[in-house]
Amino acid sequence: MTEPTHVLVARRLSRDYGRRRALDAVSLEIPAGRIVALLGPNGAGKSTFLKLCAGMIEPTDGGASIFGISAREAPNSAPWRVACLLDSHEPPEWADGRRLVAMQAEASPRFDRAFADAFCFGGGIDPRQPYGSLSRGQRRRLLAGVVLASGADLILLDEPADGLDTAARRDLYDRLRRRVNDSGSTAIVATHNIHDIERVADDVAILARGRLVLHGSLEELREEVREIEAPLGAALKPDSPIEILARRRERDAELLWARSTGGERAIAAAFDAAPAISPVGLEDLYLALTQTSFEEFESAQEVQS
Amino acid sequence: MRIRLDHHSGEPIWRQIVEQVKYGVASAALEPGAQLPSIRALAAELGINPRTVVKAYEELDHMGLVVMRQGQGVFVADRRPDVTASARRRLIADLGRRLLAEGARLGADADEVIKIVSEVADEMERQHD
Repeated sequence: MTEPTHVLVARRLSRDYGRRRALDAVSLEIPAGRIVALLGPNGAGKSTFLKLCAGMIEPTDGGASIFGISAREAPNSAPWRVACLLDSHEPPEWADGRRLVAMQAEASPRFDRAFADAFCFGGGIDPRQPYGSLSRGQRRRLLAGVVLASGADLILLDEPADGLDTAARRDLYDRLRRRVNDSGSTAIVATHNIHDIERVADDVAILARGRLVLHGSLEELREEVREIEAPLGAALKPDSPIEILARRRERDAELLWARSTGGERAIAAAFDAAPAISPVGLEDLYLALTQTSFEEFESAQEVQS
Repeated sequence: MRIRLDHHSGEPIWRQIVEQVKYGVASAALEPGAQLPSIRALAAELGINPRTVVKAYEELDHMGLVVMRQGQGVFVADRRPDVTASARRRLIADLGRRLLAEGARLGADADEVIKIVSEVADEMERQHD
């Protein structure tokens, strides 16, 4: 059997909780050897997406496959190939670090013991200390270390650096980078800390209100996306090869975020008046995209009511 | 030579690497024939995807500033006067473009920017005397 080129394929992946649609028709493909930043405001569907990928919950519509296997089946047919640290995951209070490491080692044929010992029991964590007596940051470090040491091909992390201090966060992401570079594994990291993840991520997927509003390689976005400040009333020339990702009206100007494979030159040429164009970092792009869809949502609600 | 990356500027990482190596070659911090770190080593050092390093090295190879020798590594190209002169011109032209763009943002046209640059040059010369 040939290995599929994509580690994860989601097709119109959707999930309802009661009458609320938490994830709405998300389709994306994630190739091997990438670190994907999964971003979105609270309630955007990040954790739901990760749980669906981990096979912990059933999709309402659509589906996800991991290594060509249905995500729901993967935990049975290839349990050691996926490792996850989800927000709901809490081991028993009495279990100490040594036992948690040993449990994962037993489940994972490719477990990296030296890595686990070095990372999990750095930062002043005693291997014999019960989980319940550890600080928030220490708990996160221990659990993230166990997942990184597992040798899994797909690593799913939900706020892995939550509660960690600056040095420990940097260390965690550096080690994640090294694992991905050395073993060709793939990681999806859901987080609110855009500044930290922008340093390490290869790709970004942004969710807003359950929908995927942007997915792409960060290097491509850095080439292709620009922030534009145009005079009010400035018009786009028709048939311009640029995509408007978001726009916001300010008092004296219009701000736009546009994407073009032709880069800055194509974007400048698309306007009838000369706009001010600048590169845009991930945080600003994220805010532009998520706030726009929030406003769209609000106005859609008004229309409905 | 140490490469420093700004992950938050919106500037592609591969291009930041190209710019800094280019600067290193033009300023002679990188001697002709000097070996650059391997793709894997530089990716590990900078904490980035190896494909980003490949893209930067390929671009530098394409520009004639480095030579990628299969199985041996990546080396700074032997300096030929024309390569150095054109690389230096490109480098300064890039800086000039950026300066003019920033000037335009502040409402200054090219003539005003050039005038200020020559005044700054005069000031610096006087300080050296």
